[in-house]
Amino acid sequence: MNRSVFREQRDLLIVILSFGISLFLGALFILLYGADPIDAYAGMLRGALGDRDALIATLARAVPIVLSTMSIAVAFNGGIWNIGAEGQLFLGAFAAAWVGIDLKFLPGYVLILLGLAAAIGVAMFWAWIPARLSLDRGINIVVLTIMLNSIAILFTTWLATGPYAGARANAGTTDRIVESMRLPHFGAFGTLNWGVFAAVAAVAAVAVMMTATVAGYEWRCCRLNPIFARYGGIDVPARKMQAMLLSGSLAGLAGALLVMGDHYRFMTTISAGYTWTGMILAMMVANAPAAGIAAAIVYAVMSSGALEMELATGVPTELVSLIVCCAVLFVTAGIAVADRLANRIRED
Amino acid sequence: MELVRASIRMVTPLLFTALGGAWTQQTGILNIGQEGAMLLASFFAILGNYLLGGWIAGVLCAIAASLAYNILFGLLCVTLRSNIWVVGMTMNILADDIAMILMKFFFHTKGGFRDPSIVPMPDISLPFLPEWLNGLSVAVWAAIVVLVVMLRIDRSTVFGLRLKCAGENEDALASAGVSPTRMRYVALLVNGVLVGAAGAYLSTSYLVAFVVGMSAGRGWIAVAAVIFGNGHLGWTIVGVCLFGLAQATGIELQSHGFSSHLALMLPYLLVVAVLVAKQWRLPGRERPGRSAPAQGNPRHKR
Amino acid sequence: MPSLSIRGLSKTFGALRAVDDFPFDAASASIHALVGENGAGKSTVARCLYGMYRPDGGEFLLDGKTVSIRSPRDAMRLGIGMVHQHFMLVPSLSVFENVVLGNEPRKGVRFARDRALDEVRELMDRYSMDIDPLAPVRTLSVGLRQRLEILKLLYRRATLLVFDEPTAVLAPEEILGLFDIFSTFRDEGKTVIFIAHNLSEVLAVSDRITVMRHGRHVATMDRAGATPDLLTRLMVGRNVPFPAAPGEDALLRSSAPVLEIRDLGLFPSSKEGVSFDVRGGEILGIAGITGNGQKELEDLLTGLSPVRHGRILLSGTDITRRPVRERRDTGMAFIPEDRLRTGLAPLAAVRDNAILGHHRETRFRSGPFVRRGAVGNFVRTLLASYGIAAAHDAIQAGTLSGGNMQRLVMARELEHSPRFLLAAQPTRGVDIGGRAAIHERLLSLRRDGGAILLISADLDEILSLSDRIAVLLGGLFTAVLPRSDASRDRIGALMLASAK
Repeated sequence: MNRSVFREQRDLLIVILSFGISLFLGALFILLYGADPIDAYAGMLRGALGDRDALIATLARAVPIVLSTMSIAVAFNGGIWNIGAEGQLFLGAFAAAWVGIDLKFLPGYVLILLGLAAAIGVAMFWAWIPARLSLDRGINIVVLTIMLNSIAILFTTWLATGPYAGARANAGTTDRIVESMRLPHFGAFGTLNWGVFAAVAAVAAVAVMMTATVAGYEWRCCRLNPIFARYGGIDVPARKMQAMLLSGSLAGLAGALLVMGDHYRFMTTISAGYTWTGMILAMMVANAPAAGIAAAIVYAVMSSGALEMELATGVPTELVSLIVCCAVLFVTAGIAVADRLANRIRED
Repeated sequence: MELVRASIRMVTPLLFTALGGAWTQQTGILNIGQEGAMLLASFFAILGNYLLGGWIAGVLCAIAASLAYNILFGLLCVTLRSNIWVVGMTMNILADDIAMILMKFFFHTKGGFRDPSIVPMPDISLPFLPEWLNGLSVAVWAAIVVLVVMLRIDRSTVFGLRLKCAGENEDALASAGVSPTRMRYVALLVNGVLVGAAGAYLSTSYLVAFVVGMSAGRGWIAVAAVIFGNGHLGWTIVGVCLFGLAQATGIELQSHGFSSHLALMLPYLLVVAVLVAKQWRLPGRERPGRSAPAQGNPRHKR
Repeated sequence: MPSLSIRGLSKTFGALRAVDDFPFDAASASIHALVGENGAGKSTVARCLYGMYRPDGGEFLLDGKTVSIRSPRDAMRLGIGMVHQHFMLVPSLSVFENVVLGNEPRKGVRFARDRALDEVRELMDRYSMDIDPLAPVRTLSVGLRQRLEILKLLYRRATLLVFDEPTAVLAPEEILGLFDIFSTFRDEGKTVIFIAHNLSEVLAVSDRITVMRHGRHVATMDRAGATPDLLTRLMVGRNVPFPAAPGEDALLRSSAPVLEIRDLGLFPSSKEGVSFDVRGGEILGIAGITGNGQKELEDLLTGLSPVRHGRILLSGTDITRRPVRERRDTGMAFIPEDRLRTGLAPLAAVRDNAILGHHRETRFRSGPFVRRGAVGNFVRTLLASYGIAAAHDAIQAGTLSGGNMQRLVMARELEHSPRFLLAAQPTRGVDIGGRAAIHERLLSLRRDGGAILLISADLDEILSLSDRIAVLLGGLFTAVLPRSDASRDRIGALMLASAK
């Protein structure tokens, strides 16, 4: 009779099954390339976790992915479709780089704080615009945020190829930020750096907010039934705006850390589609924070090892994203079918 | 005149895509998978063209791919009634990945692919046409034919009438013995054919190559035009023309020494501006027009 | 001409047996009423007959021949037509387009608009209906929309006509007009099945009457053998225990009004508004035909829609512009009419549903955190004391039965001893036992000095609970009566009074 407990287990089972089927589908693509799927997947694991350097590289890779996943999850969980995290990340990254280039006369710790603040502030502003327009005017937020993504990416590209183009760098990258602002790497290989602590703190804080606070409760109500939320005295637009701003700030933080910790400069290829990855991961686990973090780490492992797989078998790294996308579709379909079978949709 | 020609080239893929999208929107499904469908179609057009030799084979492959894509969208969103945003966003990303994986497999490259053996769509030049209309792709003319035919169907056939009913009150249509689900699938299939044509045009006429991310937000701009028109074909076309003109202007500006990246922002800025302008007078929270009791809506008694 | 027989019809939704082994026989050229309480399964029978639901068992016979009805299309082909509780119309299309939808005359692939228009005009002439066939349906009144629904059936040449609660949305003279149409149909040899729960209407027009209860067949009788008392007893299954008439114990009533409404415009276009007070220890009942401003009044009091005209005061404080949360904080509680859309979040856990509106109180919150333990204890107590059958406080509210959902909303709203309670259709869809319990809760809040505004489409509920009764018509009160001056007939007349 414990139907909901049953339901949660059922949904978890659906997620795991979907992931399994998707791995199998991925294996078909690997076979297409004439490689042995088991070898390929094993290579993936070896590439990601095989030795200390690989592990560090994997962890470094996990940082932006986990931040992006939480960024999307907090917005979607609050019932607001922030598809604009990519643009927010780009602007945040550029803002951090700008601090490190144009304000380099400031002391290091000020620069670090200022860089984080600038990145988060700009990203929040870029999230605020579509949220305001959507909440007040009913403009479709998905289309708005997609357009703002393109605008932000083109704008930062212009900056990085025009006014801020690096003197001795490749096209599309700025000069490096001042040394005192760079977050030191752990070890000689890989880019894992002190930023990971900021990321962990931010992600933990947001996860706690989503699951254990009144704000989290109100977000949930806004998503599950906005009319009900209003009727219960929740200021729905304000809550959704809050979720959106939080989402933007996480995206901005991801951008700042990529600049201050990984690349030490802004570049037009700074995001490997991190927020898109974050979005499919968040959707796969229905915005549950803990599951989202777990899924993001699994994804980081897979994508970190995927390069090794590509070198060994020729199967492109995009296979990982494909597997997760398929998993999302299977989860969606699986839950719809299971709900229907359980006859939970009341006809009357 | 060059600007007009450039606009026509820009409008063509948008027009195909937005017209199909307008019909699915009429049936109550906002097809947000367009971007992915277009990209996948571009890839399959090149693939078919290269492997089978001939632009028609390319177009057919493109259409087959986008049809399959839209059928999957329909299965999930129409039959299973899943959330269109979850499904649509995921499928857009999935299309990217599939194109990439197949590109590496067939062409052993991950950036872009062009080959002299790819046959571009023919351009049409006729002696009686004014010069500025000569030398446009056959797809441009096809788009115009599709536009005229769809306008006719929309206005004066039973099918056009039923499409709108499926979106406005599906129960009314169902109780009249017509399946709204079927109307939705038909609209999605038409949309699939058209977006397939749009993708094929991009990769075998506009450019004769496949480049990663070559749909470049065109699918989304078409979605914006559909939202702007809200299912009304006329207004959708207005939106398409505006956005196409902005794209062409952006490219034109580049050739006058304007920064290419800033100039390319133009269509996206315009989309935002148009959507804002359209909704400015209409507060999102409460919409006017709730009717008084005498002409009141029948209250749903659920 | 068709006679209909239904044999052993059954239909279940999940665990609910909506219709259970139900037999039914309607002769041709007759008006056959199907009566029963809300939730008795009448509409489900109709929807099965019209092919909208696939029955679990049973068969339909037309003129003695078994027929298979798997879709509305099948039903139409067999000459069955149905006017649904909520209309099946496409608002932006014109009248004639709505009439022909699904059977459009064509010329090749084209829609033969002129022919359709001619055919509809001709049909309107024949039945002397005066509707502009070119008008968009969204401009029509509810009464005309119903005419349009009937026209649709006639256009499809239906001979077995099912009307699902057609009078709920109609004004009095419109109801009489509808009954005239029923009689015309009978005279033409058509069969009319009239689904209703208002006994006076049933007795006024039917030839035969079938009573349903809990999805089962109870009795079928001729009009001549039926009386309101008998039918009531059959519908309910026992004599209805009306709650002790409240009424005259004015001592209970505090003199100061708790809620004061001043010239509150119910519809956005209203130029005039309603004014009334609700005192502590008093139940003010609002009667009226659905769609005359009840829903709007509910939304204005809750704070879901903004007040455009007039004022609302709670214990002397102006709360007209206060948001929902402040209203709740000052002791207002609301039982909304639409429980699934407004009163509950069906996809959220029972626990989350049970604390809404109070989730910011310090007993459920310490700093920014939810006090999980306190919430858990509170919810478990609440479930037990209101007899809500939920396996666990983490299950989704949408999986509860209708009665349990209703009790959950009641429990949440009453648990905090509100000063003012708005109860909109509090017993809709609730069985008799549940209804009595809810009435007892309302009366006990009244005994404790709470002020209650009761909005109900059920006149008996209004009459048995209210101290005073206001009648709503077109967004205005036609009268406010003390209960001693109110009778069924008088209220009925006021509800139906034509404003113009």
